[in-house]
Amino acid sequence: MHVVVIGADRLGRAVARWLVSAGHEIAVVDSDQGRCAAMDEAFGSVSVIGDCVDWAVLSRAGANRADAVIATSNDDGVNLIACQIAKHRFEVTTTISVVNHSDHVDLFNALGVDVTVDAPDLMLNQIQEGLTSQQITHLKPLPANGQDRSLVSIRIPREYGSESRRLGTLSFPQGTLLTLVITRDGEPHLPTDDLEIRAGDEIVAVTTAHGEDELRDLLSNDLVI
Amino acid sequence: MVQIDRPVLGPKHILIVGCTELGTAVATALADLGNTVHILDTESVAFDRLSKSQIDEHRIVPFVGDGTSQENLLKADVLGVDVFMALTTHDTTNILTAQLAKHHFQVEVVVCRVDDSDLQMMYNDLGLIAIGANALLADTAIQAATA
Repeated sequence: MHVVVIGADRLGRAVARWLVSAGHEIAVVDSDQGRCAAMDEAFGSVSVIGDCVDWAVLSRAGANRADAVIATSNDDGVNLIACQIAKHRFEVTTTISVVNHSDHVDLFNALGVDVTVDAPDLMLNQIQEGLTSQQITHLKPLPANGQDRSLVSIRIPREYGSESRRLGTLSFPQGTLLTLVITRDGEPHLPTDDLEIRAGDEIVAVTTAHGEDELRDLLSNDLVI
Repeated sequence: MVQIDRPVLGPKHILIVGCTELGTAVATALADLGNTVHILDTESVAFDRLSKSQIDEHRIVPFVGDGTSQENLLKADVLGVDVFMALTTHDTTNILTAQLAKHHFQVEVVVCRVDDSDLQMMYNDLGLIAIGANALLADTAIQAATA
């Protein structure tokens, strides 16, 4: 694949490293000469110095033949516009963008950015997870049909002992769709009534914000014998 | 001095992001025509350019804040305005905030300063009223030369 990366700062570099190791052809756009030089030193001649929202610059980066554009800068305006140019001018199939202010995520989605990464939310989740033993991690928003649902993963807290329960004995909140259970050993299982779950297992489900709270309560109380 | 040819029909509520020279000129002229103008800028010192009397008469209301934040736009009454104008000196800021106004806050008329001519064309296609300095300057210069 040919991938254009917007931004050669830390995140851009990490993305570039991953793409190169996966065997893809990359071009990285940044207006800072120093960052571009560092990029070239690490990966060979991949950088394009210039304004990330300038058509000519993006053209030089091969946007017209790119399979994907990944926007990693810390400026949401730049990220959004680069993705819009990719879509409207260069007809790039996949646009992926980091969003630095959660405020802007809905807008990016509404304007056709294919994949948005809500950076503050993601980081907050990881921090929360680190702080408490039980946690809900948001995997992916599912805003279809105006319903504000998410694909979430909830870990059953360790402090509830080594007793196991059959999944079928738990009454999950209305409108929650269980999709997968990942047991402590890392093994994925389809959710069936007979599946035994215990502390440390993760349940992956589709639910609403309200459903999340109910799930949290259900899994924190119910396993206490 | 900014010349406005078309009379504005009925007083409108307008929100301008960017109390720049352009923002000031537009705010002043629109307020003179009887409209109410809210103007948002990250630096309160930018409001020094505005006319005291227009502020005292509440025809221009300044707000301090970043126009790319929903919270600030709401404080500046983005939900109650007829027209939104992004007039800062940065195309990217203007485009981001203008699209927030149009797609998130459903403001009917969204005017956006976009100096880059490629971007100006693209965003006109995408539903903004995108105005570029160079095109207008060129028009005026050409008119002056051929008058």
